[in-house]
Amino acid sequence: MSQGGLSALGRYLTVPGSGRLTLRIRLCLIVAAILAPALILAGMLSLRAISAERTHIEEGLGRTLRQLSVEIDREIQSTTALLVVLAGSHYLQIDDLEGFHQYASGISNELGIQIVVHRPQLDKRVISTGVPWERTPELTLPAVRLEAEQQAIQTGKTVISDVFFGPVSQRLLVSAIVPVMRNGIAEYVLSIGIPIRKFSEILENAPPGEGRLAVVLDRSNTVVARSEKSELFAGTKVLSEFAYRTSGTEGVLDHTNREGIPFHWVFRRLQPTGWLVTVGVKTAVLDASARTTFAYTATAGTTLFALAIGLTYLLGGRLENRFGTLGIDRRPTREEFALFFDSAPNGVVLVDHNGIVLLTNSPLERMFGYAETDLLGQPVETLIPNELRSAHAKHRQDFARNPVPRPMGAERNLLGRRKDGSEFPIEVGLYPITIQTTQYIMATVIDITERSLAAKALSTALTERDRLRRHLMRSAEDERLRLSHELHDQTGQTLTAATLAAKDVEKFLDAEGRQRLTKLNALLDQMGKTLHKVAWELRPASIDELGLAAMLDNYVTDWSDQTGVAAEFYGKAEDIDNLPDEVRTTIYRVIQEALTNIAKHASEANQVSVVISRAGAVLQLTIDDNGDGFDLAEKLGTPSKYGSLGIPSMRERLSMIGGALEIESSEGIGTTVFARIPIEPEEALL
Amino acid sequence: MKDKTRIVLADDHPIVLTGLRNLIESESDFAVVGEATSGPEALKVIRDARPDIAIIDISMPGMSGIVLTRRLSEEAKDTKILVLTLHEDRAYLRQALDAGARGYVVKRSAAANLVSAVRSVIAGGIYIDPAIVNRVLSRSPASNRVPLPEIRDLTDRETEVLKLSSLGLTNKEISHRIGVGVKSVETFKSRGLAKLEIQSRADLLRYASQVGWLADI
Repeated sequence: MSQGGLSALGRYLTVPGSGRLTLRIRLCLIVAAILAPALILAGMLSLRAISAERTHIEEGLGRTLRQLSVEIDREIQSTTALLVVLAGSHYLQIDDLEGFHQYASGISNELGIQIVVHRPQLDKRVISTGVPWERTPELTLPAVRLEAEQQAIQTGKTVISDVFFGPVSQRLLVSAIVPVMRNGIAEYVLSIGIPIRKFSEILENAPPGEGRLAVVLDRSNTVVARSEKSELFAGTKVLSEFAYRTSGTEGVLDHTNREGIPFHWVFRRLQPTGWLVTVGVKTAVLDASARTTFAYTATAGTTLFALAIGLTYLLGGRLENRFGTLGIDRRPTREEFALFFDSAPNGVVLVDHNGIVLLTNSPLERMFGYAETDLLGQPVETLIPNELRSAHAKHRQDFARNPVPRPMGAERNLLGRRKDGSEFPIEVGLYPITIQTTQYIMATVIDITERSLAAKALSTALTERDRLRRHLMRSAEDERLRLSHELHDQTGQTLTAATLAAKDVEKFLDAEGRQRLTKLNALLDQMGKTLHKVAWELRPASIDELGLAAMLDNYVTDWSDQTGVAAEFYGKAEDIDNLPDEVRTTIYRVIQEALTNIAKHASEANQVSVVISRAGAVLQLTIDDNGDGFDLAEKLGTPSKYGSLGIPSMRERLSMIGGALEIESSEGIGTTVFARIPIEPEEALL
Repeated sequence: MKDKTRIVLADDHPIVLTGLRNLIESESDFAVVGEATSGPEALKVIRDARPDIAIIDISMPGMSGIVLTRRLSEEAKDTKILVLTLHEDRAYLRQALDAGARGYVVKRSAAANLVSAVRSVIAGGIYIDPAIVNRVLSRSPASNRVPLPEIRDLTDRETEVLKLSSLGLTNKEISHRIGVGVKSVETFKSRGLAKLEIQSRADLLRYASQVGWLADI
């Protein structure tokens, strides 16, 4: 499952926001926790049963194998025993072969076998019970048969040959061969040809069972007998790999048979023949029970698990409704919801699309002074002052056409009307709700009487503060003006009179006296200069006497002379000379501050402009320098630097007359101070 | 008496007036023929007495010395005007000279310089108080600028930016108005100013008023 899928599942299973699991999910988890180990145990038990079943089948195979081995051994032993009896026959001892033929034919007819005798040393005549005495053939024995005969002669013991095709009986046979020794020489070789049909019958008479196969192989891995289709396979060789893997005396292997079907084989090699008896079971049969058991167990386990979880989930849901935690397991009941609705801090009213009140909560009823259910069925305009009702109905219809949550009457002061007719300020939020196709509007109402009063008080206080500050600033300006006048006109004139009087005294003095008077004059001159400077700095009288434009032109030029920075003033006397005193003073002070800043901070500047222009009812004052500029944010970031630029005082002064300050600075280009002052057109025209 | 230079004094401060009279009359060839303590009175006294020279203050009730000088230049052309004032601002000096005054002496140095100032003016010269004369000479008046170049090679954007800038808009406001970045506005502005060979905002304003940009307001 992808990460997104997991988190989606997590959201589904847990309570949004809290990260807690619901009761129902917790119950399901508990059931799963109990059930899972139980099912795993059951699975393990059935696996053990499966392996027991397999062992059982294998044991069955082993039993069959042993049984078959015994029977085949018995067959061979009985034949060998017969051979030994025949070898001891007196016919052979007296060399009466015809008598022996007659004797043996009786036995062979009885047993369905063929008895053969011949004299390997003397001739090629072979006496066989399969042919009458008169017609005993001279023939060449098959190689397999001869090989076994040679072995028998050498060992002097009974030997069982591999499968060969009997030339007389025209059938597949194996021979039990025994030499009849006389004076250390094999005088006769006696053999009994056993049709391999005998072995097939053994296998067929003791069938190994459904899906099982028994096979007998001779030493050269030729099939002697097979429990099924023996005629087809007898006398043929088995697969070489199978032969190789069964070369031991006994064992187990998995190998497909020649029909291509996978088998599980157990095998055993017989002594002394060296034959292999093997019994196999189809792997499919061996595993069938395991598969079936596993399928049953898995199906039963999964079904049980699913049923248990499903039932728990369903029951858990019912439990949640009764016992679960509110908000996590279940939704509030009617009673709880009503309680919450009535405990909301704000008034809530639900109206239909016609503006009819459907639902109110207690805070709203209290706020408007109505009893419970009083308002139900009333038009919502009941809550609004009479004069606003028709407008409200129209607004309500507009809202119904374009319903998006929004505050009502944004930027207007809304009033609510109580039952007793009194009105109070409110704040209203509108939320459209559509249930199926019916549209409702929910409105939350907050009584903002307190807030409006506080806001009004704050606003009054701020206005008062501004008025006081303005008054203070104006008083300061007035005082400066008065002081400046005083110093200039009164003290200055008196000083002038004093210098003139000193001059007048000069003619009454001798050389010594004149010399001293010169010193006095120098002092008076110094005093005059100081006086002039102080008065000028307090407030240049020229603002009033020459007009602001001329004064500023002069001021900027003086500043330029003092600082050595080229500076120019551009402004038209008709734009600025007739402005109110306060505005003119402000303009002068702002320019003064700005130029001081440039001198202090923009030492690289070599070109400064002070420009005053008028655009309609706005006076635009611009001061720019081509200094290095600065990063405004950085410069204004720290209060001390901010203060050092005198920007707050400029801003303050401008705000007193409704103006605004803007500063633009760009590194490498310079800094520009923009001051905008609104002016009444009449003022400028006066 | 005939050879004496006839002088009228106008100052609203009686003690200054007294001091001046003492100073003037200590010169044997000077004679004070009238005194006034307000602008209108001075106008009347001078018109009646027709002195050779009138020494007048700028700050006087009723009529400022500058206005008085202007009127006397028309109504009493024979009388030379010497302004004696506390003001050391060169703006006053220029106004006084523009109005027709032939001399300008600051009161601080009156005791030392007034007599020689009067003699200079009588002799037909112009006297400016040494205390402020150096500041006058160091000045390179803005009005003497070379004629501003015609609009040339300005792109539409440069023209627009310079025009809005001359109206007092900040770069940021211009940037909003024409929809380009502030850096671009700075570039347009500096390129435009370079093309017009304008170095300061004051010159830009002069140029703007000449080509009529400001008339659009």
